[in-house]
Amino acid sequence: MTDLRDARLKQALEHAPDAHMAPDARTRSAILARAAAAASPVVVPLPREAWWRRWLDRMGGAGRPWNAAFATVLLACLVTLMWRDEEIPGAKMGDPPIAGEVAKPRVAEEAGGAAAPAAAQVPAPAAAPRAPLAQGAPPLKPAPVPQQRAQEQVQKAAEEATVRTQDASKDAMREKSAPVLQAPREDERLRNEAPVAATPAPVPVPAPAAAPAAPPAAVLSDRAGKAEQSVAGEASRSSGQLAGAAAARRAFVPPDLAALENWTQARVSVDGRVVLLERAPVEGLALQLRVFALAARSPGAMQVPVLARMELLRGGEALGVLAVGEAAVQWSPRDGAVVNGAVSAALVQEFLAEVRRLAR
Amino acid sequence: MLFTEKPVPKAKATADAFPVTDDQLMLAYARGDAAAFDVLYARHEGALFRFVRRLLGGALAAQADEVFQDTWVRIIAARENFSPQGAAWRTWAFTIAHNAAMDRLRASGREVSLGSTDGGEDASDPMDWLQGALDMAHPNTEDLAYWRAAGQQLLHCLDELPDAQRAAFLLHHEDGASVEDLAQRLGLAFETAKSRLRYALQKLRNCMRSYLEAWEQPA
Repeated sequence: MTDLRDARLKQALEHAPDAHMAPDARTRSAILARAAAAASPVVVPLPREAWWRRWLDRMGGAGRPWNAAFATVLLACLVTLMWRDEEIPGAKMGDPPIAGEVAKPRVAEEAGGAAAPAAAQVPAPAAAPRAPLAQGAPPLKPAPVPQQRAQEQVQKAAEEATVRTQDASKDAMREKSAPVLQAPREDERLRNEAPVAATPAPVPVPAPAAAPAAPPAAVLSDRAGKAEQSVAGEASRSSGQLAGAAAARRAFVPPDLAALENWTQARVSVDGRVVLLERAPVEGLALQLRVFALAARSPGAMQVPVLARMELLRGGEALGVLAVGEAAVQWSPRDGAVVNGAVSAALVQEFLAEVRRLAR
Repeated sequence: MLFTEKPVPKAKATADAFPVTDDQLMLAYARGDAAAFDVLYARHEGALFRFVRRLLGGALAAQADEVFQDTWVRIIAARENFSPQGAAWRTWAFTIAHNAAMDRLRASGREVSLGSTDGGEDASDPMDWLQGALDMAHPNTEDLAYWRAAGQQLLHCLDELPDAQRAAFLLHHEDGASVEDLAQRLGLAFETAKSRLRYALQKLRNCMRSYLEAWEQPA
């Protein structure tokens, strides 16, 4: 027995009436049942791997060339930093075009500058476009920008005019071998374009040199004129009188087309005979007259002898007189000045043959 | 599993069949071995029940079963927090039982004053009853009936102790806790625990004076 522990009290405590008391059986059962219910295998979590290692394993682990990928990214960053303040190199204007590359971009680029003067220097750009198209040449591709398209057309017309100048004699020979084909084709083309030509254009019939100033409007409104003048241009160039024709074109006088459109009868004088022809049966001849009249652009009378003469009438009233000489024509409208021009000798011969046939 | 090979039909009967410590049993139960809990329960059922019952005192003796069950429920719920590196399982369990009983005492609002008596049959001095029954002026301390009567008297004396002093005495004498351990478990300073225990012993000795004198005087 110590000061704080009394063995007598402890012994008395051990012999107390409640020393062998036990809880109620239901209490015991409840406790054991509760313990059994609570006892469940506890899954001890395994030590988790580091997140970066799990991510690395999921991405393929060491089997992938991460070093190479990292080096690539590093190199890309380095190059980016080196070129950070530098100008990105683009296509150089002076470089020769790569083989197979279409020359359109250059034409488009130069259309606003160098191409415009070139078009102005072309003798007859308006006479260029339609003939090759009618002969099966591929049509011009429409450009997305109207101004660019107009510039392209001007440029192309200039190029084609140059080529056609060289081939003018060849065309003349071809037309001579197939004269019937040319007339209906031109007739059909002019009919289709007649409304366009008759429609008053917002700007006067433009000279090709005016193309740089207002390229789209000039090109569009000039189409009818181009078509009608094409054959005449070809004839003039093929005759070898390009220098004179150029001078004449510089002093171009718009022809009076009203007489050419409205005549109903023609008094034809050829080889000393005079025949009055109705227009309806000789519509092809009327087309040729129109072509000749359009070719006459220089003021004054022609300097060659007259081989045939056609007086265009409407209701007995004379509208104008077209005189045809050797490789030259003269148009004398009733209310206008006399103009003349050079035409293809082959066309003249073809015309004369037709007139003589009708005059029989 | 540690204890599934041997079924435990009656925890009490098989309590001594497992030479494992209380800590091992508790760890096995925490890992899911329900049989380990049965053994553990059988080992400490009586001691814990007595402790709870005596701590509650005679007035709340009817709630001993409930508090006892609450004690084990707390043990079950805290199974994963048990750590053998801390106090032994018995100390841990008795602390839980102490807290459960004290909670119930506080909830009941019981106030025990020294010297108060219930006035019933139990309130009479059992020594007088013992002496009358045995017709002995000095009962034999070797007699079992003597100690039973002393135990009964001691229970009465415990009832008259304040709860804190009663708890200190029971933990010190039933659970065998040292003063340091007692102070730690009750969250008291050492001197406070020591004085609380001394006061408890002093009152109990006064209350048990007749028995203690009889024990000191040989028959």
